[in-house]
Amino acid sequence: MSSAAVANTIRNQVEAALSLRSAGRLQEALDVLTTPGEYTSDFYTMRGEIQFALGRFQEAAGSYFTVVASEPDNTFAQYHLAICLHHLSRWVEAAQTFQRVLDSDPHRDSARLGLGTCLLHLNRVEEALANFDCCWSDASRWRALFGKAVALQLLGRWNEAEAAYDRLLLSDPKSAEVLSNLIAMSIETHDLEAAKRFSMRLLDVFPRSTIALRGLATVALERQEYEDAVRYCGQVVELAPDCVEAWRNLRFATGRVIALQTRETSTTAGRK
Amino acid sequence: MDYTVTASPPQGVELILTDTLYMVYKLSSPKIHLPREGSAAGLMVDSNARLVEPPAQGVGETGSAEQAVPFQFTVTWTSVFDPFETPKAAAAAVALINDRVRTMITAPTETLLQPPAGSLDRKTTGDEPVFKGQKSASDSSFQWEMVVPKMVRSAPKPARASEISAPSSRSRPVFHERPVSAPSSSSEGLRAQSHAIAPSTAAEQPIPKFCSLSPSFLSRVRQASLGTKLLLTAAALAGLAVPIWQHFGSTRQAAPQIQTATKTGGWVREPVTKLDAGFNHTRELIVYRPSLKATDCRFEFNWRLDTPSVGWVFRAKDTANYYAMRIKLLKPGPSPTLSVEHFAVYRGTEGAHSEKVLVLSRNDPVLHIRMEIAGPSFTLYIGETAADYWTDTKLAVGGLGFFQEWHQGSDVEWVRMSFAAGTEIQRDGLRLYTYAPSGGD
Repeated sequence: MSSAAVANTIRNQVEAALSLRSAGRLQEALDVLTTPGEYTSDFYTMRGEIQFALGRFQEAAGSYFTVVASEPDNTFAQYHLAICLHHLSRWVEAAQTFQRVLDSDPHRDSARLGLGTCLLHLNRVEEALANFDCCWSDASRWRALFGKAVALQLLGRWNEAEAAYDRLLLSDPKSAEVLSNLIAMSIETHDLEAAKRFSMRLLDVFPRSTIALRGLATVALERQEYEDAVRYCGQVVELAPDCVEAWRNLRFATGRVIALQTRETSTTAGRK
Repeated sequence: MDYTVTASPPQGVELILTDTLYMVYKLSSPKIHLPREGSAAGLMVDSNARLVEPPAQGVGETGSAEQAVPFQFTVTWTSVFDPFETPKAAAAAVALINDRVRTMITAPTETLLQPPAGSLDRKTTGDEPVFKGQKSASDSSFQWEMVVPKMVRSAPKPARASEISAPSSRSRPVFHERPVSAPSSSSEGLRAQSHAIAPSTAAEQPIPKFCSLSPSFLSRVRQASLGTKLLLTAAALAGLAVPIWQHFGSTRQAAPQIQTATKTGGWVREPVTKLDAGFNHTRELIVYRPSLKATDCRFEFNWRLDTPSVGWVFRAKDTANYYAMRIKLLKPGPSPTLSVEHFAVYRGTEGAHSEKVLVLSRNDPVLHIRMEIAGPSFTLYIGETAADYWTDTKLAVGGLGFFQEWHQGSDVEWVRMSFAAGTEIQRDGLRLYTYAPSGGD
């Protein structure tokens, strides 16, 4: 088959796949894109898109790899390859790919955010923080600030992290993840009052939040308020039966309550 | 609330619980009512409750096994990077397959990466949102849309009071520079302070008719009534041609010339103020002031591919409210690859960017860019081919211009603006503005 015929075949394949994809027939669109005899970036890009849409991230990554192997400057493919790798939790490779996107387009905040999250996973927190600081667009402002807050928290810079979280809550008072991280930070810094406050706030937003209940249970246990601890731990085991800590703490708190009640009973009996 | 525990201990925990008080209980009361000695009557238990008494032990004899264990709290950052983020403004994709411009990537990237419905469930019962990941192919609910714009211009919608100033003033549109107040850490403060320019008068919303003399247009003219012809003639007269050579290079190099041009009439350069600490001030709008009241219009210019990108704005009400588009040169060569990006900035908040990639079939040193702005519909043409189409209803009136970021200049030559008949254009702005190339050239 001549190269012109091959090119024509590929073009027809891509167009057919486009039509099927437009109709929502993703699997059929993917079936149309059988391996071509000759490389074209359009073909592999289209295949990667459909595989990605089908949740086949490994295969999509392979398709995008094919594109970037021959076209290292194709930032579209690079970016989507990075997303696939991110989705596959291959943090090192994803970070490298996001970095390559940023080498071509340093102002692409979405890639910078992706790189930042990969670096957080890789425990390269300082680098992640620097990346979040570089974000500039309004569209990414909230997320960049969130990344920054997380990085600061992981670095133990509590005050700065708290300030960043406060700003996030100003714009999104119901952010469960922000509140959860604040609970974690409060517990870590042993600020029980703050832990209770953020837990109650999270519970207002999500009444069945196990994180909030665990926060409240922790506070209750620390303060030796065992009846409250029993209540919160009981709710946690209901909502998250796999939470071993909740079961153990339920047992512990219940034991304490029984012991205290027994002590009171025996004291009263002794007086009588 | 009346809870009945139905949960079972997890696998592997049974052993731990064999010597403890494993009970099914109700949490109808915050206090646990404990049984009297040898009786379970006081304990609020279900009928099928199983009360397993712990081994007899005295008060305080809890033993080392009965220690509270700390709950695990993890720091998470799933909200930081969300490749599945849904674009705020729906953007229709355009299929372009011809000899001039072709694209194989017809869907906006955000739409492409949108997960199937239900993958991110926010339960209404008050549970925390749980990300379930992608669904399998069998239950995919993707809906792909390809729209070829037919350029049927929608009827003009009345200007909204919230978006434009009070009408009726015939005075010359003027940019008002608002005083910039002290920085504030709150986002509300940010939004409030990010405005700098605003037109003092509002534009009318005439029937959008452009002065393009296409064959179909001429045929319509022949069939039209005298009144319509007069109206169209007025529209044609309202066509504004501003051939210029504008090079807005780096701020340091080109700013004086732009400022000079501003004084002589027309172009205003305004930085997009961002007072949020930690964010760079990188974007500047270069708005053609006489166009501030434009509603429906056409914006054309030639972009020389020597520079990596060109960005332009329309319906720019001020630095906090505008639509923007940008074309980037991703890969030069015989078949240059471009990315086309558009987004809206509304009330100081920048919406999601929609981006697509175009591959040109041939390498022209200069691209003719044409933007048709008609009501809520915006169509981008590269050459004579529709390259992008999107709709947004937030902004109805505003000026035309360019934007640049990170002091990256663009070579733009030959700008032309055509306005719908009846648009109030400042007449002084109709003269030619010829800029000398910047100092760098």
